[in-house]
Amino acid sequence: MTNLDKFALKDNPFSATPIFDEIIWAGMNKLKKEIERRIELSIKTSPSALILNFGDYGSGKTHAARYFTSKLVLKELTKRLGISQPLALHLNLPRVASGCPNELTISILSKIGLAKLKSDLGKVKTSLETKKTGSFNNVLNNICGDSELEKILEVFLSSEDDDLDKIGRVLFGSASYSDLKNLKLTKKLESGSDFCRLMSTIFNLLTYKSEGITPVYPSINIWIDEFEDIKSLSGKEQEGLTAYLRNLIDWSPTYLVLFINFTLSPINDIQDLTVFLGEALSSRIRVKIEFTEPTPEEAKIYVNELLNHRKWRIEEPILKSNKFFPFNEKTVDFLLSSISPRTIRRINEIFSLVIELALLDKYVEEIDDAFIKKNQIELGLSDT
Amino acid sequence: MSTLDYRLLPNPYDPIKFEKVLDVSSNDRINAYFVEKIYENETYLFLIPNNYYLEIFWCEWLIEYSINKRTLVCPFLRVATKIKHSTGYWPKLAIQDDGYIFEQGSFLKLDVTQLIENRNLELPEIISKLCQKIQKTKSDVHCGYSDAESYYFNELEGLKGFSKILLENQSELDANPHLALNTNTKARRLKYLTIIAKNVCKPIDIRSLSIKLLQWSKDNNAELTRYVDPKGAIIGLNGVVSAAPYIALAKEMKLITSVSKVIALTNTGKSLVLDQASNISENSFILSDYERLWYVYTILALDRDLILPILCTLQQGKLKKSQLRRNFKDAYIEYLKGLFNHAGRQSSKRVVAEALKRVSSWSKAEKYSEHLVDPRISWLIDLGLVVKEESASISLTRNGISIVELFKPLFKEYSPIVTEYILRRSFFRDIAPRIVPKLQKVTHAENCDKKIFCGKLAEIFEFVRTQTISPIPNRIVASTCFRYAGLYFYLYHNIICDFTFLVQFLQDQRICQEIGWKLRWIKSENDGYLSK
Repeated sequence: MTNLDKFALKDNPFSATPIFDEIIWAGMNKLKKEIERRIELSIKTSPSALILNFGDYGSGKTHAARYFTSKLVLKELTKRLGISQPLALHLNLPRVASGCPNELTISILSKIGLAKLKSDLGKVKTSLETKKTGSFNNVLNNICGDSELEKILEVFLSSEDDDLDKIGRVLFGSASYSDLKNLKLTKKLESGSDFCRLMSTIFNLLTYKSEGITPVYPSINIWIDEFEDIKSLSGKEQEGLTAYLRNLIDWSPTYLVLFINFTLSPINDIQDLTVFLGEALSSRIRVKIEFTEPTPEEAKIYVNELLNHRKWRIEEPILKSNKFFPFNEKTVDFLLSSISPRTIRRINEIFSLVIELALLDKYVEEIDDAFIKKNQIELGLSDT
Repeated sequence: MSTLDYRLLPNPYDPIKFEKVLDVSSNDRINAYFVEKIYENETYLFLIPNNYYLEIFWCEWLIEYSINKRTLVCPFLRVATKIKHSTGYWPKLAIQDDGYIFEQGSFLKLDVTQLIENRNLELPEIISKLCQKIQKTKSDVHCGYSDAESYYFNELEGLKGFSKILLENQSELDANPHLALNTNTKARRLKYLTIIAKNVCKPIDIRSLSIKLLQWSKDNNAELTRYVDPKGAIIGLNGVVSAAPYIALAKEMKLITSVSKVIALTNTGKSLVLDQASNISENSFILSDYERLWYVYTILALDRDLILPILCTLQQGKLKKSQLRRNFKDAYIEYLKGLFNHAGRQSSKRVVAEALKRVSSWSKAEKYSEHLVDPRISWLIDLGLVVKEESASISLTRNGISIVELFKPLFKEYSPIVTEYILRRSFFRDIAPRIVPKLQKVTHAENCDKKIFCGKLAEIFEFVRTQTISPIPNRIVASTCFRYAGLYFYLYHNIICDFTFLVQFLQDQRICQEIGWKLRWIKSENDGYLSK
């Protein structure tokens, strides 16, 4: 790998798809603040909410999901806002031939982790029982209202580590008859309604607060990515999934926020997205956040912040006169006006390629207009 | 005869040596020989450069650049494909100038040296064997040429017949080589489809939609009995299932689609129902001009390979329906053979070959034809392209004759065949005037006053926006808008404004600023958005 030192960079900062480690947010301040506000409101106000994030391919929806479910990011954000950290999960829409509600439940439980979930629910039980014996069962009964399901949760909470796999299978809906028999349970979770009831009970318990009882989590944020894939599911699964999400919101009326990432595309055949969400779910959409194409000015701020992030930037004297180094500032303007569509992904693709091409050319010390014009065809830019 | 001072070719290959048996001429401007050979009544021209080694090019003079050059060049592409398959390399293909100003001009040449199997022969025998091989390959309809067309795109760019337009059209044809809607013989009246679309403006379950359609049918039953072709009634006595053939056809035409438990209007269907003009006609089954143009476009885009052979069959003159059904099989087979030639890939040829096989095996042709022909005759009556006379004979109307005249050249080998790509480029320019002829002068959009045109476009986009139900504000689908705009401009303002023109027109940022709408075109989806 040829080193980027000559460009005062440790690495190429423009990754076309969101990266996993130390996730960074550059530019796009308005959007960032909007989402932060939603997270803050999810903690400070109780009503659960369904938020629709919509935008084109490459507009940053998945990046936002990863960023705002990152523990490091949430730690810093909540510290700054003076609130405690929510439970935040990033999932993809399940794409299975059948059993989407089951699949979604498994995703959520797997993301949390059964051991952690057991520990967290254990804290709720302990807090309640410390206050008054038997109160946990009362609360559970009020929230759940299904005695067989309550029994499953009680068995889960009191299970030994060796039995976690058995009870795990029960929660995942794949328990065998002997699993049920061993655990002295009668109900096997099967219907979408069962799984939804399970999840909503768990969420309500995790966010349960009352006088003297601090919730384990102040709120739960679930990001469901690639929701437009719902079109590829059968009608029955589409209905099952939207019913699951609608019930989840209805049965977890407090401190749950579902962020739905939906990429707009004419290939959906239908302009009216409410058809895919279903009327019930559409009517529950509280807020719509549009991931718009950045303006040239916003895009320039994005490029600047990314280039100069401490993760990639090597401090050099040249940066005092040109903060866009190795790019000439005019060249940045030129590139950003030539890129179409000007999505974050496309900006990353082009700028990344430019850096790579410049690296291969040993005579390039600064990336200027002449260099861009020379490589116009390779960059796929229109003739200007 | 030779004016070449230095003959470099080895003796067995020296054309001058064989002047008595071969028609040889030399060209010292390009330092080469032309050798002409008549083989089985066809003339073949070869170019042999004056070199130390033998190279032979098969050539053809390009007298003028025209779309018919496609007929000339495609055989070369077939031979090139053959050479590629046998050697793994594409042979050289080029257009070369002969170096003279006032004579022939340019010629197309293809390096066929690799076709020579035995180099120990002398030149006359080599030429004969080359002619044999070329003749066999160029008429091999199973040999595709689309790959060659793509590979040699740059070399052929100068030839109008190989323009980017035709290349893209060919590509679309190969992607969907056989376009035919699945039809139920009961689905005869196109008006029912419009009624379906109008009742699906909001998503609706199928039972409710069927009930609405039944009700409309009941309310308009008397009108149907008075209609020129009173077939295709939805009979209420049979219940909601009698609406099923029309709902199925509406889905086939992509007017509506199923989502979960409901039926929803597609972006395509939306463009049908946007027309606000009040169309009061003497019979509720008579289609408005807007509908006629809309359905002609849709049927050509999705049912081309059944509707065109039916129209072709009617070229023969007045026919009784039974005659039409009888004659249809042969006409369809001939049409499919032509389509097979048009298909440029093995995969697309296979699809057409399968259709040919199916049709050829129709034992009771009239019975099979009935299911395909009868509903389409009813559609053509609705569209005003065909008329049913009192004697029950069917014939083309003046508009129908005009349409058939337009499509006649398509059945010549290698001529461009219509796909939605072509429809988007020139439906209003070439086809609409034959369906809804205009008495007043029409203007092409590109010649309109820009300011006025932009103003009208802004009105159209704003109108479509108000008619769009979506949780996303200020965003409308381009295809819905552009289809509506084309129809609106043609019918109400005598302006020819094709789809592709609008896509290109809105690439200009200044135009977008003037209109207040920005187009985001997604090439991979062949559609896009307009946003405010």
